[in-house]
Amino acid sequence: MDEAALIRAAQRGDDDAFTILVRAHDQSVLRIALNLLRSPEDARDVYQEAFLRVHRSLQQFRFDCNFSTWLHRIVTNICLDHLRRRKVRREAPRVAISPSGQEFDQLDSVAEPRADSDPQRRVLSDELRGKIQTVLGELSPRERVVFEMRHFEGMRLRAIGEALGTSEEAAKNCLFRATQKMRVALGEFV
Amino acid sequence: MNCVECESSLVFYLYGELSAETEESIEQHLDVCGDCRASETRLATMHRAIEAERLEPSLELLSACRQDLAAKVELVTHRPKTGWRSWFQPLGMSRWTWRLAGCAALVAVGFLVAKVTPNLPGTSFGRGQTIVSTVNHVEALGDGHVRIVLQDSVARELSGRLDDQAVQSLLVSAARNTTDPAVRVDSMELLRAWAGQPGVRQTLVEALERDPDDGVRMKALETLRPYAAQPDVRTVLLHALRADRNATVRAQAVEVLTMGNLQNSEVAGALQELMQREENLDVRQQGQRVLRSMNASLETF
Repeated sequence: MDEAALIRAAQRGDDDAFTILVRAHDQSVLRIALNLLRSPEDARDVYQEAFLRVHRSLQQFRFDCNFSTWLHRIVTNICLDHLRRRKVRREAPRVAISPSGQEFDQLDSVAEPRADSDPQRRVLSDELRGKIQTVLGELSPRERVVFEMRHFEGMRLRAIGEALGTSEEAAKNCLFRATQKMRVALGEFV
Repeated sequence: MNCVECESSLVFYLYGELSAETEESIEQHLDVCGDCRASETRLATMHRAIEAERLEPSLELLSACRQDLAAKVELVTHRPKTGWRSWFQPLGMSRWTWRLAGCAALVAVGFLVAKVTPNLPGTSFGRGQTIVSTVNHVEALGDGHVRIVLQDSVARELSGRLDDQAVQSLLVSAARNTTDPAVRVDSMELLRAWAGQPGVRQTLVEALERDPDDGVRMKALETLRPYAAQPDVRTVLLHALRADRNATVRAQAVEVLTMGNLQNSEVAGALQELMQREENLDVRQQGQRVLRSMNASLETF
């Protein structure tokens, strides 16, 4: 069954079709949320909220854009809300305390590095990695979404613009600003 | 093109977001300008450092998310919004009170059924067994009787050594049949040392070719990596490179097919074919790098 047929079946209330539809896209949704929010709990919340919104609103989906574009719009909106809230209240660090009293990074237990980037991760200094994370945290929520969708999802600017409900030109300006900030901050490392 | 123009376009050059003509102008300028070439190298290094920061969610997290969602969708879809419960709303009982009442009612019904149901021939519901039943068939027999066909499954636990043939068979079965992708991935990991055996390898090849879950196909690909020179593995890797819907799987297939001395004209052809339709910029750039290193043209014409 192709995707359009799956969507129509899910719109008629076919739970199995909805499950297949979710499974075709959910790894990408979870990856976007985990990378943007760097918190497994928040990523899990975004996953639930995004697909429950899809479940509630699927009847209104009119095939005037790709399903993935529509889904990306939902996910990025939820992530943007999380990032904006976090900017206001300065989120707690993701380091947690284990039962034995030792500090550990929660992401270590829920994320696997991309297999082909593993050697690069090993050679990158902790300092550089820390700097990248700091700059990502300092970008505006919108700049961060655009920057990560390009770098981590490999999406083209047109698709990013569509996902954010904005023009390709606006996405391009956002990406340029984010890249320049990253270049300035990482100048001494690369 | 001068240095100022080059600098302002360099960012989008590396993102692959410029027209072919502008790209060509930049490349001509980079060939003759050491400063801009150095700037391009620094920017490319920064891209690689950033992309290495990408997190891939673990299958355990994915599995937990799927279970949460299934439970919530079930609640949304199957909880009646009207009907008998609405009669009692004025009594002021909360949703949780109703859930507790519902649980108590189920226990009571189970107790009553156990008391009043005669010992049916052919049933063997032993004490302490965990039984999950699915109703496969229902039929009226007349006189108020019905016939119900149940499919029972009994949960059992066993342990054994990994080199035990029976244990391996169960793991192969788990890698093929289970509905939970996390179990398929765990089974493949346990079978890694036996991936050279024909039965295990065939399971991995089939998983890479057609498993619906991206993470499982990725795991199968990784497990098959040491056997990339074998004809059946090579065929499925070429299939993944050409047709897998997940960009990370395609990128990994490119890497495995071009490692060591595996490169040949068949791989070059598949990559050239890929370049004609690949949408993902990372995979495109990776394919282009490999084709350049093989001194092959970037596309077929």
